[in-house]
Amino acid sequence: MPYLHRLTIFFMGFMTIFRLLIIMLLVPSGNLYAMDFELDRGIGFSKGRDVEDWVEAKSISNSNFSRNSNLNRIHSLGSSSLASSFGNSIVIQTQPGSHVVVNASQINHGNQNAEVNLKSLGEPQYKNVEEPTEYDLDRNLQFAK
Amino acid sequence: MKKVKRTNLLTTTAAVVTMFVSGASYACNPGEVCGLNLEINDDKVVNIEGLGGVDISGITVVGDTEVTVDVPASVQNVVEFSQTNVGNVSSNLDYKGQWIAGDFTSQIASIANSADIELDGDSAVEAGQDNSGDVTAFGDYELNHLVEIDNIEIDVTAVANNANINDGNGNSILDISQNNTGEVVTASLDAVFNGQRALTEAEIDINVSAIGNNVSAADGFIVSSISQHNCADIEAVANVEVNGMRDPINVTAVGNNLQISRINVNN
Repeated sequence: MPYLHRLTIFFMGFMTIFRLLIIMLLVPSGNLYAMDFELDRGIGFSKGRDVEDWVEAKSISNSNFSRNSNLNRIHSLGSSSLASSFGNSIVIQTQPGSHVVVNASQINHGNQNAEVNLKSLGEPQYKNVEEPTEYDLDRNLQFAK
Repeated sequence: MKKVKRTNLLTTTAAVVTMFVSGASYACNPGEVCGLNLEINDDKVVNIEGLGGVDISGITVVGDTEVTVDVPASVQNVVEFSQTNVGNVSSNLDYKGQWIAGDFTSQIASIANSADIELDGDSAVEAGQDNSGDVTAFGDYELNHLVEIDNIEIDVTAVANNANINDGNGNSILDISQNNTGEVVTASLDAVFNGQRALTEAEIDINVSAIGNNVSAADGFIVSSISQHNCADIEAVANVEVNGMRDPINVTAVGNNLQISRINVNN
């Protein structure tokens, strides 16, 4: 193989490795998704969303916290909509014909955190399953007392 | 001392109602029941004073819609109370159970200031609740060998200021202020259930609630002035390990919660 050809192959290989090294350097090694470079909104807010939108439960894969109208942190972590956080909440119920006057002021300065960590398997085969046919419930209950 | 200058129905056509709580103070000697001072002038401006002061003004008449507020002519019940808590309130329950059958029920509650009031008739209620302590409720459960369990109900509740007021039938006034300056209100649950095949048939009801200030007023109240101020961090956490669970877990954290209903009385 001519010397020039081998040199070309070597150079191409070197450039390929060099490109890979550049790409590896550019790829963040940690989780940088939490960094927010947008300047038109506060930290923790998505673009184009109102503050009120954040006063609701969030799944763990969506956001690790939100903020209420007072810009307090509101956490809601869970695998479903089981966790609810509210800075301020008002519920008023009336019936037709009723006349009610309500003057309410609510101020919240604290953070709210509602979190559910549920380890549940939906499969029919479970670990530590007790078989009802293999024990004497009355005897065991007596023993437990 | 009661002063009721006018006690008729207040009939106005209102589209815009601006209200504020007056800062007026009233000379009310200890043990004396402070009364009401109700004025309705020709400009349809309504002032209700007394019991700490509820001032309604700026009613603008627009359109033909009519709004009637039956202000109580005289009150049958007057309730005034003030609650202050400065210490920390904590409840802890650590339960390890074996061979549990039937129903399993457990409640853990920590409340700094609590008031439950049942009234019937025209009433006036003035209340103040102030908490500066931390309020925590912790539950740690490990239930094993749940082979014939029918129901599991666990409630963990932490509330700094709580007022439940029910007026069965009346046109009443409520004036209440709640202030929570403690650092934390925490309700936490750790639960492990074993015996999962049976649990798929059982009803599991788990509620974890942490609230800074809570007011619940039912039925009788037509004029309410509510002030709630919370400074504490509110945290409700449930860590549950169970297989085959079919029912949801309710976990709620609220800074200020207000519920007012008037649905069971004749208007």
